[in-house]
Amino acid sequence: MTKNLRIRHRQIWALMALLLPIGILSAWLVIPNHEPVKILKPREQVLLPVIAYTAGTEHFQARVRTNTDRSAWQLEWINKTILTTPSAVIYKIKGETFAPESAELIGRIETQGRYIFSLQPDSTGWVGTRLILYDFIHAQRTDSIKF
Amino acid sequence: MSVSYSAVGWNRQKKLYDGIIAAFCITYLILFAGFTWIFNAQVTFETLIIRSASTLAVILLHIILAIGPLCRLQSKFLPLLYNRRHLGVTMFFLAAIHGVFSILQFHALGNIHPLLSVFVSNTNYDSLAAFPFQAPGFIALIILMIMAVTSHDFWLHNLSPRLWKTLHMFVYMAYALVVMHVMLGVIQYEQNPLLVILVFTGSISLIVLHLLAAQKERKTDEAKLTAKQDGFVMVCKITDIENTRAKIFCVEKERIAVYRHEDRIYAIHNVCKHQGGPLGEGRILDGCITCPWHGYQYLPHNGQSPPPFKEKVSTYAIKIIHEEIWLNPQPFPEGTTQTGAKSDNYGQ
Repeated sequence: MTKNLRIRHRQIWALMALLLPIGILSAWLVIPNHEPVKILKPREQVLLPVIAYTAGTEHFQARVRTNTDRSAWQLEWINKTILTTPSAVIYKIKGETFAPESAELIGRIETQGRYIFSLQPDSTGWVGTRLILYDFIHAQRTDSIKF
Repeated sequence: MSVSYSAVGWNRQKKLYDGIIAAFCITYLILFAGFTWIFNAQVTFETLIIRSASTLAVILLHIILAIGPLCRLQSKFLPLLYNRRHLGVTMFFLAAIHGVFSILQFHALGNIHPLLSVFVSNTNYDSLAAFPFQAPGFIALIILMIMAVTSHDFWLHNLSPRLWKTLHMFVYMAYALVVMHVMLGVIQYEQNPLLVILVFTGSISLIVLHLLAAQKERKTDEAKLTAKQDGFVMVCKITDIENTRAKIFCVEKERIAVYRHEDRIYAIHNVCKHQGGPLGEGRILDGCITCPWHGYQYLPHNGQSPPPFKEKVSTYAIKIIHEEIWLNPQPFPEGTTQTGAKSDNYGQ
């Protein structure tokens, strides 16, 4: 390498040493809702026996499940048809106003299959609650289910 | 070299290297598919392709960017540099698979052109959390495509080494864009902290490697040569240089390779005409100084590539006084023949 090229490499990486950690940390800090509920749950998770609430549309079925002493809660989500939005996450809101920043993120789903997400221990009071299906690639609400 | 443009010479080393790349990629893809099938069976085939190709491309990009500084820190990594372009094209191929499948899956069903949709379907450019992360990924893919297309020596000669090298330094911008594409995309939705740790560790490793290599180069550039006489500077003793090898000295802001070949000492400009490789880090093979990067060769006494090739570099005057090598940093025109300097003690 010529001296100029060596200097340019050094300058670029000095700049990267400053900007990359800032970029990574900034992006890490804005990850919404740090509860460990956002990962895709394996299909093998055991379903809780009691169905507490149920709601659905022609494309989806959602069931809030619990056990007999109501100490554990789950959301069972079933795609009845193939989802045409592969980048979909489920948010839970009270009322009608939805903003991803303030809504509770339940988890992400793929285009097909059944998904089980753990819910907060006290998940009573689902009447009037709405599940929003949100396309995070296009940043738009695609569907919703009301309990 | 410059006499003609021929197909890539698939010598034994390149075949072996390509075989290792292929075996690594195939093994990775099989393992990725296997683990996905075990732990996340509901994933569609398209999603599997998107994820496996992208993760493999990111791993290869880190390896590619580590090769340069590793070679400057340890010469034993030089064979990786010799073959790096194949790894780069492989990485682009995988990134392109990821890009094409992603655009088809996420943007083909809309009512606007899929490529336009990448940039306008989500317009939260003022929000870090909701940033349209596919845009930086797409720009990175375009940069990598330009680099892959121009990777052949045909483009190196037609664009000139300086422009070609400048163009290919955009890989650093592509890397920064890829990191942000990952951080603002999948990391926002996959909460496994391992992903953040991997991205952070990868970036920090590259930064440290590049800065260490830069520091080493800087030391070479700033080494003081104080003994001067009649325009010559004393650089080292004859015994400091092994036969067929060189030492590099930075004199008056230019790097010069001082080679020992048989019983003589020669000096040529350190920068290879091909891609700026450090000639002083090579060795003499078949009577020619051989660049460690891609094997370009120059005759030690005149800095010319052996016929029919046409590359040539500057030569310098050398003399030996009391077993010390003295170098005149004023270059002769490229390709000027020098007799070299001979020690009286050689052969004793």
